[in-house]
Amino acid sequence: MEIDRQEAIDKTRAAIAVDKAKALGFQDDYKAVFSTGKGLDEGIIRQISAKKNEPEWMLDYRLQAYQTYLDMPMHSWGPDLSDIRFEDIYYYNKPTNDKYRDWNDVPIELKETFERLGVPEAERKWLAGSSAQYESEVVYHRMKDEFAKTGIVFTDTDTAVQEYPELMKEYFGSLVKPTNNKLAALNAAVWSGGTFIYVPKGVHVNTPIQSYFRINTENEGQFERTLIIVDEGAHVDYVEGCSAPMYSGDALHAAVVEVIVKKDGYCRYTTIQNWSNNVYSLETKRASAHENATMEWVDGNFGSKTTMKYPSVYLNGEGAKGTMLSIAVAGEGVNLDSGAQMIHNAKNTSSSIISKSIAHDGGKTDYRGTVKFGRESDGSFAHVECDTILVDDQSSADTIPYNTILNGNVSMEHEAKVSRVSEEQLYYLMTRGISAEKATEMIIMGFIEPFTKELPMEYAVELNRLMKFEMIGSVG
Amino acid sequence: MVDNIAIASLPLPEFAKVRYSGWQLDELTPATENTKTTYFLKNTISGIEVSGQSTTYQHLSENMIAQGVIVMGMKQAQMVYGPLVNKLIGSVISKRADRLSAQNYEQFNTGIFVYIPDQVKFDDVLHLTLNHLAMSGQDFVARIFVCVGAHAKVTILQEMHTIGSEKTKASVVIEVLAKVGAQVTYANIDSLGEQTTAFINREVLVKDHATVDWQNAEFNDGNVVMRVASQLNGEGATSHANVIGLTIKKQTQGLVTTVLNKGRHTVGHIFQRGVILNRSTLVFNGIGQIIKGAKGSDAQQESRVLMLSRRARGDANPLLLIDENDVTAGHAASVGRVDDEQMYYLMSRGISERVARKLVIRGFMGEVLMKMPTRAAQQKVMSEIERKLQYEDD
Repeated sequence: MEIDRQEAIDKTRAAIAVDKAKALGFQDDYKAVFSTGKGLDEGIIRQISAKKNEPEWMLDYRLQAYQTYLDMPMHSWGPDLSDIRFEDIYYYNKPTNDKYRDWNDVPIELKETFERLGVPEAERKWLAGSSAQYESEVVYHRMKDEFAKTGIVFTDTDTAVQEYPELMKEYFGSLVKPTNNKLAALNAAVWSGGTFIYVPKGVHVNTPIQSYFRINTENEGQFERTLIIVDEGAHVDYVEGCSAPMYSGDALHAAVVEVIVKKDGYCRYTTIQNWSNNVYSLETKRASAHENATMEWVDGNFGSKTTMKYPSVYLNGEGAKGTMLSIAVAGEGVNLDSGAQMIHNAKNTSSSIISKSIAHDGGKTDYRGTVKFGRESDGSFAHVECDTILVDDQSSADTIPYNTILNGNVSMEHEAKVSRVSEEQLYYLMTRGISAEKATEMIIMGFIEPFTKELPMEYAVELNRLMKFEMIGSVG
Repeated sequence: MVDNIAIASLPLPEFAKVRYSGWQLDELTPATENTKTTYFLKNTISGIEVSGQSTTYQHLSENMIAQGVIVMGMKQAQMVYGPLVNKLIGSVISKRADRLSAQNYEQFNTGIFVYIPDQVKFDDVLHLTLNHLAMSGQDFVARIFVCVGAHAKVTILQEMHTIGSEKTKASVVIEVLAKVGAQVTYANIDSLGEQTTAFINREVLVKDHATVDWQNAEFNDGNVVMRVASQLNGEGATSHANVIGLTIKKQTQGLVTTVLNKGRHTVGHIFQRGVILNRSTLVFNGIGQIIKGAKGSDAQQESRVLMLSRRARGDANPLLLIDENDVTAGHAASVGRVDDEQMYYLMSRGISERVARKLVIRGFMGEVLMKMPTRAAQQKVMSEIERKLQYEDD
């Protein structure tokens, strides 16, 4: 008897849907202790600022940004954002009255969420420090004592406003101005939570620091603000993970991340985003690399409804290096519009962008990137590689790279490829007795290997699991 | 009657990363100049030369005439073959495609009409020369339509020149229809003057199993936005578009090459090479688009830019828009200096640095150079490269 193929696929999908719901899609039974309610006006911004006990300058900054937000038009390019109902969004939900350093003190409902996501376990095993943000505020953060002793600051950005006003005044908003784009302006007006890291001169943190961001309420807006300052010769490895359950109302995640890497410094910023398919993730990430500094973005994107994210590195010092290594996997109803920007502003700078994407079941992955060589970028070099696999004929992909060159003494290589799963490779594997499904899986895992091998082991395992979840039933 | 309101509401054509709205290409006063001088074509070359509103040269080989080939000035063609000409014009580039093309449709008062009947084949090259007379300060608004019949095989060499040095604008729209199984080689050398600010829009509609080879050499000295597009509508339609550009002084050239794969098993290749000198700007935008359902199609592009000045600006933007998975699509782009290794090799053979440099640059643009259909055209491209390279900063 022949098994109906479509039926088998449907069953597998249904099973995965249940499994996924268990893994990430659960809704936590938890009420915020304070919420500004739906919608936004100047009063709400004042409320947020007052609730956080902020100094005058930060309130002024927020109010000015709010004005910019009102004045600016929405992006005219890229995915359609007209479905976002800004008036229905909860701009600020405070989950608890306290921040916790000891896991045992975290309220049981929040703890369950993060335990299910594996956050505390990961921390015990292999992290230098970790934090967890629930809705608008960081509810837990901790740095291992051995690292804290070196003078590293690892806290949430709200606390940093209170405790490190000098650093905040100098660097907050120094790379991403509210005028950058409408959502960056919105973030600057209503930001809450996020991570603040300062690594003093010469200090090396060899184990990663992790943050986990969780959206739980329907129509929640999460606007975290992350600022990382890596002082001269210092070294840090930061990892963030994101998730949200499935609701009928869309959630909005509009983060701003700024990373300053000073002379000879090194920063790797790894993101694994696994939003449910009702989250708009519209992020602005920008880094500045000074003389001989290295900035590396490692970016894995699954899920969301629409993602727009183009992390940049401004190579401002001689010999600075910037890299972006990303994968994007888009299934049904998902549009991942992402890329990178490398701006060469100094001599002998180099950059590399490697983007891998997979679209299946009608998903859409776009690469949108910029490489710019400024007037002073003598001797600089850029390498760009974008590879896309379209698994089926319902899926699509655009590759939109802009390369602007204002200096005669530079070189750039750019390559891109869009194709389906290689028939030759499939054929080869299948003649060795491997099933079509298994062979496709192997080819896709091989395709993203350059990415997975850069991840911390636990993340790589998790990523492989996610990949299998995504792809089962969609190939063959 | 010119429908000004409708035209003004249309968007300007898309030339990403080129700022040209200030060039005022949408405000044209079509020139009415006539001349009796023949400028370029002579000695029984097959083809036509149109200068301003005048046809200044017209000759066809016996072979062409016997096969029913029509080559005429646009105004004359509209008088003689009115219904046919009016039906064809606007059938490749829609009358309302964009503000500048729409305006050209309303305002053109000169141009060339070519009609090649089905099955016609000829080996000699058909020359189409358009001369913009820039003596009065009025603008040049011209239209070319080339209809190539089913299974016909033709080679066309189109040239554009500016005669005179008044500050003027030019709008030239070229439509090519390649019917089933047609084989078209369309080479053009554009050499508009320094004081001519131009919009050039070329598009071919390629039917089943037809093939088009574009060879585009952009040697204009003024500010130019130029688009060359292939719509691969028919099954198995093929287009190769080779574009070279060389910019000098303070000019800006924005060149867009587009291939739209609509039919199944269509092949669209884009190949762009640019050399940039002085304070000039050269922007290459390549767009390879595969529509859903165009199974088995292939979209490839390659853009290479050579920067010969510290103060110049070059852009290479190769876009791929893919809505179908049963395809192969790719692009490559690079930007760099004159190849040191090649220079070293040549100089070690006793060739002076200056000559070696020229050879390397000529080699860089060699693809289009070699594919020019006549020796004269090859020499013309070579001398244009030499002429432009004289402006190189020392």
